[in-house]
Amino acid sequence: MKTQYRLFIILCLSILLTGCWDLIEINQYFFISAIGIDMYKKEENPIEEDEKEEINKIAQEDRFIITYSTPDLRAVGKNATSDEPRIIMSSISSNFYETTKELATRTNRNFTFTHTKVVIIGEEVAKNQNYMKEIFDNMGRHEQLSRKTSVLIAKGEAKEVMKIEDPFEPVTGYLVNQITEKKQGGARYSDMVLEEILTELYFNGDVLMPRIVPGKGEIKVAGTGIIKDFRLIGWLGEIETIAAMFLLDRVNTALINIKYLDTILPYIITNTKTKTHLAVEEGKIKYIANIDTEGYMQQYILDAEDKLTDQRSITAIEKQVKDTLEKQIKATFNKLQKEFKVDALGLGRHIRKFKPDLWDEVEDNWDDIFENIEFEVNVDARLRRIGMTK
Amino acid sequence: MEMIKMYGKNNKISNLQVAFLMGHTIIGVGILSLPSTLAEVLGTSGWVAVVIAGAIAIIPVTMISKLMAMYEGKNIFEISSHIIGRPLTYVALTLVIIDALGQGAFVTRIFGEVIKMFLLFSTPLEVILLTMLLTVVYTVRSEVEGVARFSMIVIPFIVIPILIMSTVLIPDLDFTNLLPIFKVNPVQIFNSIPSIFFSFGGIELLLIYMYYSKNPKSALKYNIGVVIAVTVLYLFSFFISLARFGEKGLAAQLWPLLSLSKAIQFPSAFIENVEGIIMAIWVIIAFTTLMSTMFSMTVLLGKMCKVEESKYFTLPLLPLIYFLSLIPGNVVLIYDFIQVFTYIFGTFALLLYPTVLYTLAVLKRKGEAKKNENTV
Repeated sequence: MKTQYRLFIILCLSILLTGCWDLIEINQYFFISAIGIDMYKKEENPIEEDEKEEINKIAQEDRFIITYSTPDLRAVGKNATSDEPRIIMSSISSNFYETTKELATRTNRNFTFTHTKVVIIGEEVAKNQNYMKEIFDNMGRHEQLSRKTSVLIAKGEAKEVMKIEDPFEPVTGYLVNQITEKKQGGARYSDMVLEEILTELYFNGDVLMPRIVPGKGEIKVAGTGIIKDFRLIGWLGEIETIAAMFLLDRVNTALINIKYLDTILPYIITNTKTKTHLAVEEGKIKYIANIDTEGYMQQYILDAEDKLTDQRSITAIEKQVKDTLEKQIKATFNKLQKEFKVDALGLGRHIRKFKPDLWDEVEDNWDDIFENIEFEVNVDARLRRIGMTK
Repeated sequence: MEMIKMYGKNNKISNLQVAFLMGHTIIGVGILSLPSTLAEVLGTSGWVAVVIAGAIAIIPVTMISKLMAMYEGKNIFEISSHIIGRPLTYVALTLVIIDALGQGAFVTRIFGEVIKMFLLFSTPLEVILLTMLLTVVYTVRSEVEGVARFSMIVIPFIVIPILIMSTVLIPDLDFTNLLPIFKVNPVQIFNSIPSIFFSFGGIELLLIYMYYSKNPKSALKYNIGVVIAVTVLYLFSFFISLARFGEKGLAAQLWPLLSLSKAIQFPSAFIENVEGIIMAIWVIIAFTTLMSTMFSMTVLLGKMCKVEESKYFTLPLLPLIYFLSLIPGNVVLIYDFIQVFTYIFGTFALLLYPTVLYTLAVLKRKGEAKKNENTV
């Protein structure tokens, strides 16, 4: 009796321990490093004949061309069996998930998004409000996608960007990730990641997103896409982006060119802090930004009459930096406020946080009030170091 | 008898263990969704509701602790029979069992859903649940000492990783998101208290654990301490997730604490994603909650059937919890079900029953004291 009982347990074990439903070996995975989303245009990519004949195809609406880029693990290691450092796949479909399923019919690997570094949205897609809402909902809901993923808007098509093979880092995802994380950046792009973008979008749908530009054989992350009500309405250039980043207090280091003594001098910012606050004066809201910067000169003029060691020239340069920065920042703020009428700098959120009672008053017609907000910027620029020579 | 005592098998646990068992029951899975519920209903002022609910929760804790200390050495069945009579006791304890059953089933299901979503995509939900339940049954059958020791030993495994991960999170937190912190709407807060208060459900199981305390007279301060600790933990998780997601962003999350794990990246570390660690903690939290509810049910059933050994009741509970946990059709329904469940059975077990018992017990004591005076 006892033996039978034991035998029964052992037999049970053979059923319970036979394996794992979810077992997938690491070499059976494609670690998608970058996702590109573009608009599907019927004229350019007509559906093949045999697909049209599919009887059960119930009004399938293809909307996107979705491109995946993944490092080819066969090219890693000592005994690499492949020269190609990366694999690019694309498919026409109506969302991420369909692409995964469609590509599954063409590849022998499983897809995983846990290590996805970057999502690139094509310009055309970004201009469509509904598509943007879908895509961002998807990314927020996705259980594999890290919330630290960079989300960028491509000038032109995302696929173009992803096709470019950089000589140093061919895998698009890692390349963009390394660009945005490196220390010598110049604040020429918004470094917001998915999480921060989602926070802004949840609030009112206005945000600044980094732009990625395909060049000849290289990729450039520079400039900003302006998102209003979940859709792309315009761009900020590189210099304008620096100004916007100052207002958001996201500048670590930046370079400001100033006109001085009939030439252009670089003032390199090493340290900066922006403090913004709101004042209500005679029923009008005034937005005041106080910016403190510290920096050094990397370049001056050989044999100049006014030596850089002269305290007067240092003061003059500081004044020049102050004027230049104030002008740039004012121009950018005006562009966002008057031209695009978009609260992408988060003024509404600022009021909600620091002046909740005021927010209760202005919330309902915030759009109108935002246009008439007065803006003031005060820069306190300090020149700390002058390099190795006098 | 002497031999058994030598090995410490006297079926008594320390006050700290009692308090920790209660803490595990309270935390359960409510903590997963609490921050987003708070943000959704109350916005940035959600913390006020937590503080008030925590303060209210001290009332039943005090009542139960004092009641059980009053009748030291007697279990809840005997106490209740003594105070409100046997038939009513049967009814009341059945309701308490149903309350624990609901909590257990809820924990089981949410546990399964989360594991399936993040970890085991193609493993059938049934297998996940059964594995968990069988392990719990095994632990619960080891009597109160095993259960209590387990609930103590897992604490560092929960606390240390959470502390490390919070440290990594700090640079990403925007604490201005907590503002406006003092813009409080009293009416809204008042209305939200009932639902927030049930995040402290589980206190009622002190009715069972307190019997095993070595020294119930001094248990009160430990129990209150744990309730305060739980309140602080709730506040902590609310503030961290609010700082990370912002008011509206937090309200949109289903399980904000799990979403937080998506937002942590160890800077240039070998392991980039920490979901694995979060899942490990999550398994422990769900396990301890399920364990304590199941243990309470086992004991109550044993006492109601008046048998010495109650551990034979554990295994039959398994199919009950299992099928109950599978009733809700989807994730949204799970929360609707548990809401109704706690409103009916939770109110009874957590507030009504202890209050009645305690009030009558105090009155009875006074009556007896008077009687004694008269006879003397």
